Amino acid sequence: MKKLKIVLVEDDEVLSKVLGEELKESGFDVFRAFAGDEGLKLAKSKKPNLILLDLMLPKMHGFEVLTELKKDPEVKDIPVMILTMLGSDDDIKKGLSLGANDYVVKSQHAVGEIVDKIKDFFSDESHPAAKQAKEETETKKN
Amino acid sequence: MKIRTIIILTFVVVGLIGAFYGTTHLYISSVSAIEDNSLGYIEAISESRKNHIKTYLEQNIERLKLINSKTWLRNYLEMYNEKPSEDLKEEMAKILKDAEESVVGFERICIASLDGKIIVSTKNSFLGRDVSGVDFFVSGKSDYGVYFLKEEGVNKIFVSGPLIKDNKLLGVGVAVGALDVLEGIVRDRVGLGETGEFWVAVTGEDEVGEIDFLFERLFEGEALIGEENEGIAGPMKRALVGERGVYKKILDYRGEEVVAVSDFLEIGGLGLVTKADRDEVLGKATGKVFGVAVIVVILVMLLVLVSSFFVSGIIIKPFLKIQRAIEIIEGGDLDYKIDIKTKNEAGDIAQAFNKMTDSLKESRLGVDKKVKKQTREIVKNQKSLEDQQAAILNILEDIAEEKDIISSERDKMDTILQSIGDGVFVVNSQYKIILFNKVASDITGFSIKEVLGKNYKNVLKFIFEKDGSLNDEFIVDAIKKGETQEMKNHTLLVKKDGDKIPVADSSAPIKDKQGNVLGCVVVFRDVTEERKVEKMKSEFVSIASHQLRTPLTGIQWVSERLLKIKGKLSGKEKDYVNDIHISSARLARLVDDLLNVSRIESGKIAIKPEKIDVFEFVESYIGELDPLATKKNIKLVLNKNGEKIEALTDKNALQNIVQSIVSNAMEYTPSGGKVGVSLKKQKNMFLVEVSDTGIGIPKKDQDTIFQKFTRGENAQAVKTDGTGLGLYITQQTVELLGGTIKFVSTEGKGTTFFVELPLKSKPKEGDKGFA
Repeated sequence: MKKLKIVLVEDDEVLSKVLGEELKESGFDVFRAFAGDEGLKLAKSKKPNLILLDLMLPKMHGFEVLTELKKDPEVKDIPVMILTMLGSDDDIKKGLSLGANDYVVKSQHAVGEIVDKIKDFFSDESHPAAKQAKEETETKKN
Repeated sequence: MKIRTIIILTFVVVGLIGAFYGTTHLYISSVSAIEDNSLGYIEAISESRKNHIKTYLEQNIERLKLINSKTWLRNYLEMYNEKPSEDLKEEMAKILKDAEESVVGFERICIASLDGKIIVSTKNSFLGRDVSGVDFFVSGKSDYGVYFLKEEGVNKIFVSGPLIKDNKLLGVGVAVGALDVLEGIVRDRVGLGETGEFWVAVTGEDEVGEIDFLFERLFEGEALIGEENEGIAGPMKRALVGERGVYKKILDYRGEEVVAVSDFLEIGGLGLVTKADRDEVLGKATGKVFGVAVIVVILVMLLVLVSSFFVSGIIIKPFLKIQRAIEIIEGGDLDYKIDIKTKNEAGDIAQAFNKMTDSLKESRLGVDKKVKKQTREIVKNQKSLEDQQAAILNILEDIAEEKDIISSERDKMDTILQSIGDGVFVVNSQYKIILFNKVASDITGFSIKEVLGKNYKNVLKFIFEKDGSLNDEFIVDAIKKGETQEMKNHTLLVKKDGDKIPVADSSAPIKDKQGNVLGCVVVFRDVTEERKVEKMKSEFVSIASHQLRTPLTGIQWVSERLLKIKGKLSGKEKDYVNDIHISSARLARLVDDLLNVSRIESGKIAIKPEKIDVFEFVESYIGELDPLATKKNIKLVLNKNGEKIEALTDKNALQNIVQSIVSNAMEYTPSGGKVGVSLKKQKNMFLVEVSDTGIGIPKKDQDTIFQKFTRGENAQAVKTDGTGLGLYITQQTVELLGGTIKFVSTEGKGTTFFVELPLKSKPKEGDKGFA
């Protein structure tokens, strides 16, 4: 069974660890990066099915990473979900406008909720790429 | 020219013409009459002279007759004719001589024989002469006659007649005389005046048409003789042919005008012309007549003048009366009547004039009345004008006083203005800067002189930070709307040197007592520092909360995981982990609250209204609380009255509010209690009512319950970890949406909160939402 790959770009160790483990237990392959540039490299090399992108990142701000991702034809189609701490409208708006598909406010949700959201994401009709990815893995499963 | 003058002149001219014409006529006819008269006179003279001459000539004939009748003479002659002899001649001569001496007037008497020879003569010189062809012999044979002939160049009178005896012609007797008697008659001056002349002439012997004047002219002068001329010859010619003539005016031999009468005397065949100078004859008379004419003319003219004066006077009189009347009436006396009673045009005019005066008087009276009335009005107006004037003067005094007050107030104001620490400028309703204080000048870089009187738009540029577009609506709106306006956030002012500095504050309209906007006063300050501080604060808050939240979230998630791990934790361990979870959750809420308070207080919260089905919204939220309600054994009810409430409001804000109140209700209601939520739609608002059967809010705390860090005393007992920020944040949020929050509460019984929110909330700019 091919697992869905997720690249998690989050600088806080604790949060990264917890979320990462929850995702793994939910059946995702998780690759973690702790800085913007790292995240970009990782995304490009791993070409995951989803990128979870924190904004406040050292070395390169999340938006920068997002912009770079969207420039690269190899990775520009990979769905991106922004992880924000405070749910600032501006950040959300900006992120979406830069090409992010969705956003999550970390402080407002339990980690389980976030994992559920990601799961839903892949089933959601409105994200055909995600869905397709899921189907791929499932076919492969079968 | 005056009428009078015209009349007089007319009279005079007509008079003159008439007089002259008349007198001339008169003169001419007088002269004519005189002429006739004088001619008559001359004629008379001529006649009398003629008779005189005729008588004389007849006398002479009688004398000859007498002589010829002498018997012895005839006898002798008879004898002679039978037998001529000298003796007979001598006898006859003696008789003749006797006769000659006794008869005066003859100077010679002769007898001519039948053959025409002078046989006897008293003078020997004549004897033997042959006179057979001569008139006096030829005619004398039959008749007695007088003849004038020249003898040796001298005119003599010849009388001849037949000597007859027994009807037998014997011979012709001839007597010759000198013309002296005739001359005497001719030269008689009687009746001839000074210039009168009496001409006697016979036809000339030698030539045909020749006139032989018997006597010399009286005066010097050449005779005008000629066929053409009317000289004295003319009349004489006619006289000699037997024509009587009257000549009123002909020229005589002197060239003078004469009056003449011509006549013919058969005896002797004499032409007689009597003439006298016209001047003499007519002169005096005509002179007199002329004199009379002149006098007449003068008299007539005088008469004319006098009458013309008189007549013109009469004609003029009414005019003068009218003139006088006009003067009097002009002078003001409208009662004056012209006194002309004559029944003519003057009378008519006077009547008409008087009528006119009357109507003039009436209308004048009318006008007078009007004038009086108007005058009264004017006086009235004047009075009121004077009153007004007095009032105005009073006002002016008041104004002067006020001015002084204003002046001193203004000075005060100036002083204050200059000492205010903020920039202040005032624009009038035409947007011209009328006041500009020192701080404004310092901030903007423009000197006060540079900006005063100018339209602010030309000098001060307020722009949006974002795009540099003009952002001075706060000034325009203050004036247009008459309401205080805040400068929008992120307003920049462009200084004189082009630098842009952030400014803030407000503009307020300046109104007069009637509420008319006269201008607006703008207060602004350089908020560069403030902004920096704000930014720092904001960043700090952001960063702080971010930094705080990260570990908090970490704690939450880890503890969450721990709790999930099955069987790994013992009951106590589990409890501890739970406590960690709870504590960190509380801490997280506190951090959120603090963040919200910070955001609210900095005014940075954005309100983004969107369409919300309020009922659904509240319903879903309450749905989430069901587990908790069950756990706490509280009856949580959402009253459905079916009405759909669609509101335009901020989701987060609404969530905050509902969450806050409902969770409070849940928190402070003990087990077995009830929390009811109802929604009502009102005119422009919707009402969220949350009532509980909880502990209530003590009266003494009710006034302060919305303040920061205040909690009901009784609440502390129930929930020790409340922050005291909840209701504060809720109230602020409600107010941000434009609503109100109230409550009624009885301690120990319960509380009902009433939140009224507008159906349409106004959006608000801000960069943060609720945490």
